[in-house]
Amino acid sequence: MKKNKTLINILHRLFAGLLVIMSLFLLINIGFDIFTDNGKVGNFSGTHHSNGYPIPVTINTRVNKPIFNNEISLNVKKHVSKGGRKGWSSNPKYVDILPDDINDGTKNILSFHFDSDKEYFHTKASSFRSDGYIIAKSENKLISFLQIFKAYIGLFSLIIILFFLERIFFRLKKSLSFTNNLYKEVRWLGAVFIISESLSLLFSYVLSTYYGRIGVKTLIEGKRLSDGLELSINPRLEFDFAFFVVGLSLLVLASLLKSGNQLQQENDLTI
Amino acid sequence: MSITVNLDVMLAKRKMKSKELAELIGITTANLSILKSGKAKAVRFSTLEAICKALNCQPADILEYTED
Repeated sequence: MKKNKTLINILHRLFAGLLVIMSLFLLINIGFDIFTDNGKVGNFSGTHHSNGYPIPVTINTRVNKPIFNNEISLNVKKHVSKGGRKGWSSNPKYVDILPDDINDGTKNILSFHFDSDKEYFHTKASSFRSDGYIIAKSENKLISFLQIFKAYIGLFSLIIILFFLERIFFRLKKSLSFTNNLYKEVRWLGAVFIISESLSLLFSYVLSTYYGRIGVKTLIEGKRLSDGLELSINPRLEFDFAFFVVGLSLLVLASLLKSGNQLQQENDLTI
Repeated sequence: MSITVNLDVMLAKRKMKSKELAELIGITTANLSILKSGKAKAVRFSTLEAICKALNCQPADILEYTED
């Protein structure tokens, strides 16, 4: 019982702290967006949407006609550029001897780079897929509105979720029992999870209907980007099934708490 | 249908005060008040037994069934 109380106390303080931090973060974000032109105040830089708002996309990359051969680079000197990009300078050597017909047709070498003479990984995968965002601006008012709403909905939802968690743990800290308010707050918490995920899915679907795909072409004469790398960026529906299930589970938990509350009331009125 | 608690009647017959009965049967006066006002959801057998013993009566003297 004492352990439970301590845990509840810690969680209440954690969520209260996170609520304050995230609320400040949201206010600062909005402040930077409204009152600055580029998101910078002196040396401090914050989030700014002057270049647009994120659109969820799936990025597919494929190395064309790959040869898999790892590189061993001894005496590597690592350096980090001002932009934060990591670089290596050394004299690399391929582990396997390159075939004689390497220059016939377009071939690309896909390799892990190791700075010791041991190969720790091998790959035969030439396709890569990842979920990401592309920053884009729209002149259309409806799309702009959707983008702004979508950009902040995640943060808003997180703050509302933290608010309810703080309230729930505050109540449990006061009394570890079934109460009417506890059931209502857990039900709201579940509803926020479901509404947030549903809106996210809806907005990403609407945004995806306004474009087919995003393409990249090289302007280097006589070259095609696909000779080396095939890159396709496609619309993505943004939906986290895990959060949706958490929301549904919280609704079920809320009805259990409601039932518990009724039992508790009956028990309290049994003389 | 409802169950009426006639504890007031029995207390008057035995010329006993609520506080006195509460002390005798070992419950709080607030809980006895809930029982008297009919707001209680249930009565434990042990409480009923204690009331009957204190008031020297039968359960039927305290509880009455009436049809709506």
